Amino acid sequence: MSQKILVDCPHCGHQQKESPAAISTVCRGCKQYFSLEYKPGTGRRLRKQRPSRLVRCSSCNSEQKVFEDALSAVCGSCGAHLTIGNYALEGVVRQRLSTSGNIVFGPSVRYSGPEVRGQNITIGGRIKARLRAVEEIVFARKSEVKGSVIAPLIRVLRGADAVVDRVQTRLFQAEGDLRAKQIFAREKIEIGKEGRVEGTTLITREIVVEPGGALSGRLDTTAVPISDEDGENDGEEAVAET
Amino acid sequence: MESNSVSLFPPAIRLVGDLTVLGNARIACEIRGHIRVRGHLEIDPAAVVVGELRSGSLHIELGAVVKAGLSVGKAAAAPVQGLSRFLPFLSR
Repeated sequence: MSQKILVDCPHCGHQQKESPAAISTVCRGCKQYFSLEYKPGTGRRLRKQRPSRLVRCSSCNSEQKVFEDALSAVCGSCGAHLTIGNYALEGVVRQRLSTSGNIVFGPSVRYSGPEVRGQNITIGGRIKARLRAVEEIVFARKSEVKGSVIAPLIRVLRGADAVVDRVQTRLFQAEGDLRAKQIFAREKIEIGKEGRVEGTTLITREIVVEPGGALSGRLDTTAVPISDEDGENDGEEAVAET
Repeated sequence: MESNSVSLFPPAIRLVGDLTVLGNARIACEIRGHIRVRGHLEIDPAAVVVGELRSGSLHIELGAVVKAGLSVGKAAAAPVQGLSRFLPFLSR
């Protein structure tokens, strides 16, 4: 078992033991983060860091600010351990991807594996998995997803060319091309002047297609089920996975 | 109907059959059949549309009941063949 070292919190002076390999930690006295950065020649340096991004706890859903480069954190509300690193992926990816940070799949990505979870997910490349984001999923380039994409907001950017099994969201916005077996948008589908969307089945309550945009599919505005509070299971009871 | 005009279909009527509009249209009634609108189609919250729907652009407002095959865009609206065919519409 590795020997722990004693560190002082730079915020409140509280002393606590940490692993020598730790990069940063949260003070068990004042609950603030600080860096345990090690500089060769100067020894360990305790440094206050200014939180610079917001993450949401996957257990209790509370928001908190963390450092830009933090890889993990402890939720200040419920104490859950959070993986919060941002991932920018290229090539063949085999690692499990579940984070409260952001995930960017580059154009060369090949991923096949368990459900991917992130705060925001940008899609490129070829993915064989279900993707779920707390805030937003963006189709940014040529991509193919064998599985569902699930997020409160799903956007198709101009220049994107995406094929996906199923889209499940509250608001779907398209300025690029997307083909899907099913698009389920609890609130609205918006197609911009450069958007081209084909969905075998379209389920939503409201649609706007601007002049220049294109949308096709079988539409049913009455098939949207009664809302659940957090949207976590939007439509799953009404529309089976294809 | 003129190409830049807006054809209004108020809630008091019910249409059964195929409908072609060369301009824009606003539907607030019940229509069952094939609808083709070359310009912009607006569907009111009170409307009920069952069948097939083609238009150049589209706004379906919250509350409208639409169960239809949808084809929206320039290509969907452009080829208008033959004359508009109105079947007798019945008042509610």
